[in-house]
Amino acid sequence: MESLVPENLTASFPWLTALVVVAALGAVALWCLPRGARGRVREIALGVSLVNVGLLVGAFTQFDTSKAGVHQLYEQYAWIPQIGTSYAVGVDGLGLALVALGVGLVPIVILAAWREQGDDVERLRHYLALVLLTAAFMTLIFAARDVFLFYVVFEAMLIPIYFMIGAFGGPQRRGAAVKFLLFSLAGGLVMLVAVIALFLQGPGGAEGFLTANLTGLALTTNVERLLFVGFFLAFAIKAPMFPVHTWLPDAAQQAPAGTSTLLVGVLDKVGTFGMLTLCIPLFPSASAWAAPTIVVLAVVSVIYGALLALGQKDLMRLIAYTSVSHFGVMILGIFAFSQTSIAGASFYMLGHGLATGLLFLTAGMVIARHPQRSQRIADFGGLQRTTPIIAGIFLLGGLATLSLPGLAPFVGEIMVLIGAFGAYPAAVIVSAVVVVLAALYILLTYQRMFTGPEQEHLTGLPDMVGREKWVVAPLVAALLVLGFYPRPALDLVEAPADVTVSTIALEGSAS
Amino acid sequence: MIDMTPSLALVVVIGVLVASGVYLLLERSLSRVLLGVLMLGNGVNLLFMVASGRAGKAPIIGSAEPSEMSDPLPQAMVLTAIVIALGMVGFVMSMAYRSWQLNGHDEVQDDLEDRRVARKAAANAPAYEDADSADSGETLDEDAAATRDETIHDDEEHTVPAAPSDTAARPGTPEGGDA
Amino acid sequence: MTSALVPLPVMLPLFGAGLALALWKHSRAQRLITVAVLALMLAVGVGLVVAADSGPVVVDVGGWAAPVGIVLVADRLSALMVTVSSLVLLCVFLYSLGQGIADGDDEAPVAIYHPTYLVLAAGVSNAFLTGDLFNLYVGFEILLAASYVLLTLGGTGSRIRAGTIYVVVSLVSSALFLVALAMIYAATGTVNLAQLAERLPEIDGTTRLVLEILLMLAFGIKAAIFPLSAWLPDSYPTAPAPVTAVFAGLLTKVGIYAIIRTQTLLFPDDRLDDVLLVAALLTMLVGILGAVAQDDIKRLLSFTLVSHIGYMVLGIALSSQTGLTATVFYVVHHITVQTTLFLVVGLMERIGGTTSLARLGGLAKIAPLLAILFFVPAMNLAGIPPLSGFLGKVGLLQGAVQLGTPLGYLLVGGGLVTSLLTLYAIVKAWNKAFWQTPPQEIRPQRLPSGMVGATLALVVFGLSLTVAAGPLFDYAGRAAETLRARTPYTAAVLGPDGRGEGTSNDVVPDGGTVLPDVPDDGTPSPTPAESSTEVTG
Repeated sequence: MESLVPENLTASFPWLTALVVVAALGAVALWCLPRGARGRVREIALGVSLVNVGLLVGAFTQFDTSKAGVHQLYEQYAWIPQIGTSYAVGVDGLGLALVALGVGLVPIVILAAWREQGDDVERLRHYLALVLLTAAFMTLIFAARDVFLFYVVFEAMLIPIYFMIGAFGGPQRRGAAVKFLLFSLAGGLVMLVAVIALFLQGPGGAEGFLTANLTGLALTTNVERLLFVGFFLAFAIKAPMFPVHTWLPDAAQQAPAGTSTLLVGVLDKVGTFGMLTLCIPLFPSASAWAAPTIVVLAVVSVIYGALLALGQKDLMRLIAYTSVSHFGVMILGIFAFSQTSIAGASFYMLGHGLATGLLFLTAGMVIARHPQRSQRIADFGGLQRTTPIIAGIFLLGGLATLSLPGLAPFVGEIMVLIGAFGAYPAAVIVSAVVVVLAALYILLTYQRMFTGPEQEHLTGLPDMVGREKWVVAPLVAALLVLGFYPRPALDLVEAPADVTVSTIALEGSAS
Repeated sequence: MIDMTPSLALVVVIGVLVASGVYLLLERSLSRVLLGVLMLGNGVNLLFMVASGRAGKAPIIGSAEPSEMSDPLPQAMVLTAIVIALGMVGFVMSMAYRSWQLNGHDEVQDDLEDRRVARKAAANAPAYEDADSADSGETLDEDAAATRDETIHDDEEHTVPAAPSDTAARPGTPEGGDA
Repeated sequence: MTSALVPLPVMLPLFGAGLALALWKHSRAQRLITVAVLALMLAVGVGLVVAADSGPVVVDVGGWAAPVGIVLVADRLSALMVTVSSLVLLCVFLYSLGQGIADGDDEAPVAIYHPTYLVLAAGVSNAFLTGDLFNLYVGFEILLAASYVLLTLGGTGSRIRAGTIYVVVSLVSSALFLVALAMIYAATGTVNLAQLAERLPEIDGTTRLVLEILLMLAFGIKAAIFPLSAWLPDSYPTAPAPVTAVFAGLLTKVGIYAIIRTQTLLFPDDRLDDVLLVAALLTMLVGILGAVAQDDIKRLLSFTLVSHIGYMVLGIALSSQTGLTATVFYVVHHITVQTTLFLVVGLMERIGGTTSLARLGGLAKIAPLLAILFFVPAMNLAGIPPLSGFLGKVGLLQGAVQLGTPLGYLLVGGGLVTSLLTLYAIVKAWNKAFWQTPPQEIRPQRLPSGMVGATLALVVFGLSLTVAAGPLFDYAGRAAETLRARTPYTAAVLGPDGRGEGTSNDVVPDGGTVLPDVPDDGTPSPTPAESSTEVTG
């Protein structure tokens, strides 16, 4: 069977490698900074991240949106030929969108962390270096076109996050960090076996791990299903999906707001991105075989996340559980195998990243203003009189999370629901009903925290300052723009969705 | 051509030496272990002699017909082994003497960590009471003093039961005998 | 020319030891001699690595031709082992120098430390380079004798106690090795490895199996393969930190090297493979479960050492090109990483005063450099990508998956569980030692620069293995090819006419030979000339 993956378009300038290298060098520079310059860590980190934004704009100019289904900006170099792995990077529309999400969120996170450590610039230096390192890994993983490279980055990026949670987090940060690390690594190890087994099924040789070389292999049914499960388990843990989601609430609760933004907003997308870019193209018939089960689990995720969000007393945990619910919608969209639902899931990844990022960062601002930095919802009340702007932005973020029309996540969610209706009507109806539950937990939380009588210990709190406005403004703008005018982003994600759908269709007709 | 038929007497001697050597190796006292090592080493050296075939004339060129000489290579190997054993024996003896200097005895002690784990496990009560089991009735804790167990110093609250006289009982023998 | 390099890693340390012993009153001279000798060994090792790439380099010791005399052979595997072990020995020695200079040499009997250390180096090099099985025994004994002295250095109670266990177990393993040697000689009439490679396929299969098992037992004790591994965690932790580091890094790997050499060269039919696979699985799991349960970081690392020996045995048992390549790579990686970790633990002990994880804590704030020095090799050990530990494991898992049998998949699962548990044990140790608040406050101290520098050098070397993974994998692949082909080795040692270069032919008078007859059809063993009823003695 001839490969369905269209030819890659090689890059004239190594945009993707440049993005990775600049961020990584930024991290190294921060760590090796001489003592005299250490007062300027924030500016340096912000500068590096803005350079990356500039590089991203350059990458966009070279990207041909009309061929968004093809992997462009491609670079390939030999890495360890004896194992068969190369350094191969390239992005299609979805990959570029997610890279953009990551690169765009990093300066915002850096701005949000400006005063997080108080005056302890040393701690902040380490934190910002870790953020930049994570940024490098984020770009690399969305761009990896070699399965081994993907795996290496998949595991390696656990380390900076482990430190970001474990060294800079809340009271139970150590346990949460270890849980995160071990959970993700366990999934990763299962995936490692699948990766190696897949390599052995493929053509092998010095380029044996290239995704293009491993797509379209004629695998026996059982082998394909086993390999699919191996890959899928790791992505399900990452996503996270019920029942392997339990690391996320602890991690989000203990991590600082910026870390949670990156973790939930971008890194968890690696799970769904992996499902789209690796599971389905590499194992199409196994994906079709597993789809009904996965859809059921996804719907359970949707319900479970929403129900548990209702009962949460901790603000960050609540937001984490809403994400579990939303990822269920994304996975439903992916495995419904219609062009609309897959494009919708891809768009939803973008929108969800923006909305959750906004929500986490605003929640972080609220928490930072509490005298004891409490995260408990019950410790807040009547804030909309004291801090009306924060209240408004929080409401906006909450409404975006529950997919209010006019904001970006709505477009994604409605496309998923419409697209999946043909194949799984019951699932869609259930998920649509859960949107009502989402309204409940978001609006109830808003009511408890922001409406009602002013609390004594919360009087006189400062409203959003200028820097914080710079943090939320891009996110709000993106949410509104993509909500009213989603066409540019849809152009990016629809073509890859077409490719995926035709892969499934071809497998279906061939088998 | 060298006759490879082993001499029965040699084989029996080897067997006896190795058996006694192994038996002595499993003793507590380092001096006895050392004797065991010596006997084991001698047994193995004799094994080399068996491997070299029948005895013959001295293997020096010109002193006899080559076909009547004994095989020189195993003899060289045995000499090497004996010398190595000599060095080891000297070292082990000095270790035994040092242990005597420090502790008053030369017994090989269990590893501390293993002993701690064993005592913790033994502290759990047995699951049943059995009237007619041939048990010495001594717990591991009581046994600890008799065997010069160093983990005894770990537990501050642990009261050492009246230790049986050290010289009388060999460690490991149930005090008071059994049925 | 290059054949002159081969005996140097053995001769130089022996001469150095003698010189250091003679100069026992002049500690500065002793230090200089030791450092110079070890540095020279490293240079010679690098030269051998380059030279051995074009084929095994053979030296007939004393000019006596193989197989009459003893040969020293440097093929790719031996050369690589000599180089890595020299580097590790040098760094650990610089570390102990830094410690000695900082503490003043009052407590440690330094005068004997230097010569013994050099004798250890000589023993290790001899074991790696020899082409004669009995000489391998002698090499083992040299390094064992030196290790006894180093382990019980100072003669304190705890060291004598732990040392006794180690000494007795090693004596037993030496006796087993000797028995195996005697049997091999009786069966084949030679102890030269190349000649054995030619003769062993021709003897009776059951006898050959017995010989293989005997050798495997003797080396298994040395390499600490389950169930012969209990002595290691009992004896290694009580020694001084640099001594434990050298033992952990080198001594077990000498056992592994001996297993690789005998399994590939002498017993290429894979009859023990399944047994070895099971032993590997058990070693991996039992070792790491032991590590997870430990409260003392030195014992924890000893158990992880046992566990990762299981990985190397797995690679050997696979008996495939991939498996052997990955094993060679993993051996080089593991020597470096395990030694580094023990050196770091020595530093931790220096600052914190203890190795008990319950009493350590907060070291990340007190000594941030120490935190990095611990974290990097710890992640390497746990197999986090893209470090060399991960690459080695990928190769091993690839070989195991290629096996395709249920046992192979079981081993894949075991390998993954071990990897995960290693990470768990390491992260637990990291959390307790570096992040938690200690029960009693630990005062910051300045660590001696010699110690830190040596550790840093090893950490950097470990990282360079990751960077140079491509060329190293290449070299390991070529080494594995040579090992599996066997003929390059035997041809280099025995030459075209069955004899090495050097004298032996002229001295034997015409027509007579004391060697057993070797008829053309190749049956080697001498047959009894007289009737079997004759009983002598």
